[in-house]
Amino acid sequence: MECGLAASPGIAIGKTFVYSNGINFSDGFIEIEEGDLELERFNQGVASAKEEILLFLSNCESIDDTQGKIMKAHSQIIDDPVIKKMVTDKINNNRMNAQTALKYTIKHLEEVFSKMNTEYMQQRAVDIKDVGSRITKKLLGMKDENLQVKDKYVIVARDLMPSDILRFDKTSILGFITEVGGVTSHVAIIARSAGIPAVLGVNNACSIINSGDDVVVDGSAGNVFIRPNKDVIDEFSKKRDVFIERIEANKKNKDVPAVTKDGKRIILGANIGSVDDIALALDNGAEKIGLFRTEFIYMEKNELPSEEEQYGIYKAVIQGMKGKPVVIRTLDVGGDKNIPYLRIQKEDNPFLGLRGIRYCLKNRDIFGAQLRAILRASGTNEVIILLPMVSCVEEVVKTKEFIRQVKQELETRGVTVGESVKIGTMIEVPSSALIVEELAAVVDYFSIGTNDLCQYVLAIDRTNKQLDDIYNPIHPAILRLIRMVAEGAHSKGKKVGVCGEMAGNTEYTELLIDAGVDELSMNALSIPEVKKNINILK
Amino acid sequence: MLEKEFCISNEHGLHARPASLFCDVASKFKSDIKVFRDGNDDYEADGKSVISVLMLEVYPGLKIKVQIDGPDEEKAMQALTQLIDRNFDE
Repeated sequence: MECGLAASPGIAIGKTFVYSNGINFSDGFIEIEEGDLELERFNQGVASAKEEILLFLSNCESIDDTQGKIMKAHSQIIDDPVIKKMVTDKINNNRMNAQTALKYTIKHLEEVFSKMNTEYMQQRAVDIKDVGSRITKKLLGMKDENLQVKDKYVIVARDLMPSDILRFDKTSILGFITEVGGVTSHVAIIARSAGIPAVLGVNNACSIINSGDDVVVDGSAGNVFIRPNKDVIDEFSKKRDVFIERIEANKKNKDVPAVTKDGKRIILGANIGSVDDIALALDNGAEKIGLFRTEFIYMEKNELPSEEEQYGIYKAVIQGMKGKPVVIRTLDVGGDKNIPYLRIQKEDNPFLGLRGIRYCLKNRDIFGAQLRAILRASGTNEVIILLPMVSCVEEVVKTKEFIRQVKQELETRGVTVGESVKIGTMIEVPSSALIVEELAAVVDYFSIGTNDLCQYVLAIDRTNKQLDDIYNPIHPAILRLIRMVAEGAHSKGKKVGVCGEMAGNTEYTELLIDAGVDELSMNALSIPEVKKNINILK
Repeated sequence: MLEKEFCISNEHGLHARPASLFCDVASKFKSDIKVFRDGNDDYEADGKSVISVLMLEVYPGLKIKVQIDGPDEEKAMQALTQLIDRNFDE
């Protein structure tokens, strides 16, 4: 069994086709007099490649589908004066031939884009490389094998660019396996939107798999079984059937509300770490974003994300959810969730240290930038600023005062501030559960972080394998606390959600609802099962 | 030559579609179109090049200066102004 990244869920069982898209040539140079001719040759290559792209677009059913959008972007890139300028310069001043000049041009641009600050820009590097390859193939006179495969195959390649994928008839692709690529790469996005299982980042896939080999691709777990035996095939055939049934059922149930048999309505939300998670959330029927873990934004980069960048991200998430509420948890970092450029001091006891709201209140320049971005991005949408690691009322009072200041500064600058921004706190530190009524007087919402709450209340480190047998998330103390929080919050007219792992586990759904919880927020993929579970509960 | 400052206040700044639209409009005109970022004349882009404009990394809230020089500079400035004022139709 080989492991890789689970890039697109589902199971594929079938024969492989190992695809090679390598363009190999040695750098070539020309005589000075040949410059003009070579430039002309380059222009012809571009024209020919452009024709190909436009042909695809004219045959495309809808320019708004995933591949249509990508090809539209390519049609713009191929005309870009910057590419022509740089290639011309290399042909005339470095005496490179057209394909060599193009190679170094693309390399340079790829480097510039992949160093940029946003995911979006880094993906543009891939588009530029793809367009470069297309032109190069024309320059080298390589024929495009438009692969007419009669049967269905699992495509195996070192790397796949969108134009490679387009070469295949989608109905003949069972799955993808590549050696490189991440879960946010084009391949992953295209695979997910087409519902094709994919496992990326499988080392040496092209060397260990031969065309024609049987393979099982488990895109949900990120595993690949090469030349599997009958038992494995049987096991995964069953899994595949179950998976397909579930998808169909989920599609039908997407917009059905979660209501217990005796009429208790439960709101189901999705936990996300980035804008990319929104599509999956909506596809699975999320009614809100119950938790946006903003530390992911900080972790992705090598330096502090600016207010502008964050504004762009929050705006994208809020708009992407099309009017549904969004709960944004402020920066939750500490000794264990380390972010190197923040240079957080090493602590002996990071779980009991300067983290969450404590860290933010002591680093108001960082906290302020985030708050400004959230306030500016909210517009008229319902947004809740969720404070992590709250242990006392004072922390909330100080934060609210700071938010008031920040709002005032923004308003003086003439910047519009969101009108429906509320404040909520995480209930994870035991003290906050015990003073929930006092907190309810100063905040609008609570989200129970059961992961950390259990650790602190039971005094168990969940990562310590020696304690696996005594760790019990439904210990009576935990359930009692959850019930206490729900009752206390409700007595002041406030709602309570659960955003920890327990929320997505159907084993605990009934207990949580029994305890009085109003909302459950979880990994998007768990929503349909939890909903099904709730709808049969009394 | 014409010069004008704009504040980019649409959702994502000069990324994705807006950059595309900007260049589509700019490319229709004969004049040279340059875009400068946030009061810094060192950050210059060719208004007709999507790659160039994307490399400027103009986030929402930033100002740009558009400089147009050529026979149809007035029409070009008008067209680009309209596009930006419409917030790139977002």
